[in-house]
Amino acid sequence: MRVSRWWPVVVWLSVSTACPAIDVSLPTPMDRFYFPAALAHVDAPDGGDGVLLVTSANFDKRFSSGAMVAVNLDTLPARLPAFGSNPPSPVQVPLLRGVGQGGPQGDGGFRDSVLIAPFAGQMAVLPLGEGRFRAYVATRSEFQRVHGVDLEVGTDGALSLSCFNGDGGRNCGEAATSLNQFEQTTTTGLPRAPGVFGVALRARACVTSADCGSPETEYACQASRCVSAPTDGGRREPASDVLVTHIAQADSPLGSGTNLRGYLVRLPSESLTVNAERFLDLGPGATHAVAVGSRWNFVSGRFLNPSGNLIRLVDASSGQFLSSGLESTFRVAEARGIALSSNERRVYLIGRNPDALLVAGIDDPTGPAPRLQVVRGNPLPAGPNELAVLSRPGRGDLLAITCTTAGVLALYDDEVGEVAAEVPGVGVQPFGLTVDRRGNGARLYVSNFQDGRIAVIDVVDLDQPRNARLVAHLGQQQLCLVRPSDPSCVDGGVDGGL
Amino acid sequence: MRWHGALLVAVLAGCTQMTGGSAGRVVGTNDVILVDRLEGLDLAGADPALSLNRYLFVTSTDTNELRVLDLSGNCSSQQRCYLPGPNPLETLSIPVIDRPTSLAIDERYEEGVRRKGALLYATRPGGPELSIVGVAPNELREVRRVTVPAPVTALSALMVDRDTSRIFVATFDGAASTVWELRHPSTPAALRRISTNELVSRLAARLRVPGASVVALQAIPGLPGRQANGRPFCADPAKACLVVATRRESGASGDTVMFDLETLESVRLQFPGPVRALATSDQVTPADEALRPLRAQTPPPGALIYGVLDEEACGSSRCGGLSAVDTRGTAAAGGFEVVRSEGFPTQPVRWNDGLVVGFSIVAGGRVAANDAGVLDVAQLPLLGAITTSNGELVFFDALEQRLLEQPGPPSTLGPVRFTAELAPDAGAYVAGPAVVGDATRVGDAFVATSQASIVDGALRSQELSIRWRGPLTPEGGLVASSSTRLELPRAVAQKLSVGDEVSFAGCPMSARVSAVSDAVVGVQGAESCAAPGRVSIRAGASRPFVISGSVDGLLGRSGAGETFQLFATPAVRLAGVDPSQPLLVIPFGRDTDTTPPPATALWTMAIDSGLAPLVSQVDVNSFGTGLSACTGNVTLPGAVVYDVVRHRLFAAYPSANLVTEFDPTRTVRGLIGPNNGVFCYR
Repeated sequence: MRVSRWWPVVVWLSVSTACPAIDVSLPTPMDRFYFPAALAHVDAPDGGDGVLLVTSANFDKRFSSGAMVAVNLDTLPARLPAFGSNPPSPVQVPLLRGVGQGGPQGDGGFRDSVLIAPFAGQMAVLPLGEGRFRAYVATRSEFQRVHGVDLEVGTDGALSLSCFNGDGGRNCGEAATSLNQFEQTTTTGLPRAPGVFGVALRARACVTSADCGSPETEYACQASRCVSAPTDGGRREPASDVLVTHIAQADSPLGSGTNLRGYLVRLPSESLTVNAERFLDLGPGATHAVAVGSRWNFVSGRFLNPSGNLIRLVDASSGQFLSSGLESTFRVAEARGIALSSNERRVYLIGRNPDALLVAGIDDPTGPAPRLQVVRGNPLPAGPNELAVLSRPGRGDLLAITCTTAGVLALYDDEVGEVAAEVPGVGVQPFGLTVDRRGNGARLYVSNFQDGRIAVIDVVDLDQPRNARLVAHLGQQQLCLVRPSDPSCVDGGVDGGL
Repeated sequence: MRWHGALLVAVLAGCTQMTGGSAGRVVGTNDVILVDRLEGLDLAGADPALSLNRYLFVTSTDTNELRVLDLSGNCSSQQRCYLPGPNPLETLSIPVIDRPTSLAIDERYEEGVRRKGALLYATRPGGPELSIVGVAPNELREVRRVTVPAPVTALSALMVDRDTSRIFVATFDGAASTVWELRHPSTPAALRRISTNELVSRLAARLRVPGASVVALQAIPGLPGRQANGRPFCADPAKACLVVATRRESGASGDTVMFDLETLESVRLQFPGPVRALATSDQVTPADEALRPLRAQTPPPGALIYGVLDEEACGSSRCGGLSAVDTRGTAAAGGFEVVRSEGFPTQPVRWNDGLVVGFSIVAGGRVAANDAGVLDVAQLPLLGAITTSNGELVFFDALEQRLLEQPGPPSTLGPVRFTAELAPDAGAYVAGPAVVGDATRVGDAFVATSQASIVDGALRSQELSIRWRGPLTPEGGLVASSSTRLELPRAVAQKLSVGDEVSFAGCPMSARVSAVSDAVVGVQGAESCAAPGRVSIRAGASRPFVISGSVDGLLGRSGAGETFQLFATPAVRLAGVDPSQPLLVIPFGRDTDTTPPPATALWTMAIDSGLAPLVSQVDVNSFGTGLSACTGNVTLPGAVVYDVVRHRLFAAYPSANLVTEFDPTRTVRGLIGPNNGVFCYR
């Protein structure tokens, strides 16, 4: 057979066109969100609209890393509409950083942002007092990391983010705790948590300091809650358990596809140190999210087929777990977000295939073996993902639910037993959400994963969910970054049109 | 040129196959509605393949449209197919409001037989609008979209006459529900002559319900002879009455009431609990001579009202199921009562712990029968079918409210197991339920042979629990408006005794039942409690044993030295059982008189019912790879309809975005597949 002299060219063309090279050296932009996923709202010490923490998942790895940005909602260049003002159309607030937030630092970064690993999942925030907070984020890229990021809100409203792990710098991805470090160090490859995703916090309860950690002399038990050893500044900080889930099952041996199991990983908030005992083996079925009850942690499950669990209950003190068995009575294929009712008598669970909200009663929620029974199943708009409970005095809860495929935020009214309202036009793939309660109302912030922006939704009166309105978008659209050939990106620029 | 001819043939053949053979690409099969017995068509003698009785409308919720499954069998590639669009390569799409989730169709009754009109209505939860769709073959499109003042929570249609449609729409504005009536022409052509604004202006508020949401509506014709309070009530067949189910306190309470829309008088329907869906039955057609005996047994439309009980009332499937109320004749003092069978009130139809997710009641439905091992086909006056959230399809006799049973083993009671937080070396079995011989310690429990007995088929398989000083109110308690006088559900009040312990969520003091009269309970000890909140009641000393079943809930109570007897209440297999005899008997010992057990004392017994009702489930592993194969996630059904023309059952499966066809005459208990006439259309 005669080989053409053009074959090197053909091979080169094939390779170069099949997989376009990704320049991982591109610096991560800190003036925008890029595939925003987890987000959390915290109240600023001086009141006002507070601070929004947003993670950029960098889902296509266009940039060198993911990021977390803190946004002072009171100092934005263009203000968000006043709560309840009901603007005629959603206000666009493209710029995140206002005057007084400081310019680039010596390392080229900004004080209000840090780098984290790509593929952020969920985030939980621990208030430390005096305008200080610590955010915990799981990222399911290479090292399956759990990050701690400290936020400090200055008296002048200036925000500062720094890495809790490592040297306190602005690149948190390097030293963040890895949950697959046992993969290579043990013959079984276990324990490990592939696809780390969900994060929740449980305050560590105590009678004496011995209940809080070791060495017990470093801890204290104050008002039945654990606090850590004094920091360099002499402050003691709340000590909680950081509960981490993972959305892919761990197999053993690694890569065999056998002996599948899921874990709930329980890390100390004051150190994020990991060892094998931190992994609670929950049997077959990956885990997605955690709802923290007074005694039990309620863990939702992914990938039930061929075996798995919609909800597993993990005892906060012993780590023992129970299966709820709900998958045999309401046959959705898997679960996403999970939350408890304000009186802990009900658990709300987002199911997939079909997309549904399951409401289950909890018999004896603080007892040794609570029994869960599905009492309602309601269809939801396509692709429901995360939910938040908005409690209402004297009435059943209102639930806010992001629906990624439908592009809406659904509001389920437990008093009515139905979806009471849908907020359209939220954006492309609404994913995470966080709540800023305002009396009997709430301002909701929703991350639009494929859109690049955060939607701001006001529910002025929680008793009137049908009046919920989209009032603003925060950030810039990422369409022209992700798809520069789109007709709307006429100049092929990277800033995107609003 | 010969190959050109072959190519032409191939192309034409391909086109023919494509027509009517296209996949539906349905996303969100949340509801289906059968378009049969349309106005102007005589059912008798009509060729189903040629008539209009051929459409099954299916929601494609996530694509904001409806699809139409053609039941005529006029498909080349499979038994049924979705109607093709104007471009036959595409499936017909009927764009409607966003996220259509619920469907209803114009209905009226002719000689007791349900006839359907030419307009269909699509709504969604939380949406303040509805689509009106023409269903005739020359329409198949949205005719009007109507905005209503608040999100729709329920809809029911009952035509005034052939020419006039009438729908009742319930909305909830966050504080109160309103039921609106809308009358409009019954044909798309006439409806088009009315502007949308004029249509909206015709909305007339008929009922207002403060503080509750209306979760279900059922419009029914009046019924001659129906009376309440000594006067005719909803008795004129030419006028509509409305059954309204409400929900309060997140489903913990609610009422079902029938309204006479002429007088606005109302009468309660005494369902065992709050209801979340309603329906009524119709009659077998008089056109078929052979069915005359069957027709004589079917009640007229509106006589029986079926309601799906809301499981949220008690927090579990124990209080769910499908119940029926008989509204014929004169209402009792408390309202119309549940259907009776063999002289006894019937119990809700339920099986296992799945929730009812769809149901269909049909007059003259056919179903497979197994008479002592001999397979046959039975045609029932009223056949019912329920789909459940655990994937099951349950057939039942909707006139007798009884599951259709197949031969099975006799019911048995397992040994009694006593557990309590006792010291490791502590004592012995405490009776509790009396036992035969000595008990054996097994782990932290004592196990013994019980003296209890059960009549065959009396109860479903479940665990019986007997708690010392156990709860007599549901988990979470009941609403209490006063700390001295409680108005409780009669079923609860009838089980109370003077001396029972009462606790209020809003008050720390302990109180006791001082008097019981019908549904009113007197309480002493908490007179100073201003805001009692919810009330919980536990058994007192006189009858301290509380007996409940994991499926049937609270069954009753007993005292030490007494014999508990359960008469025909939650019975399933009543036929052939002497209803004057107790179905469950549990003798109790006197040990607790001298050895009061700890508060955690619990005795349990397992009931193996031996019942074998006609309950089926799709076996996805029994299918090949054909177009109509039921493969994938065919696990969670939804709405279900019985096609009385073809005697087939069609169920939506939102878990797999498809519609499944069942042949009830070939359906067997357990797993079913293509050999039982099961097909799927996606």
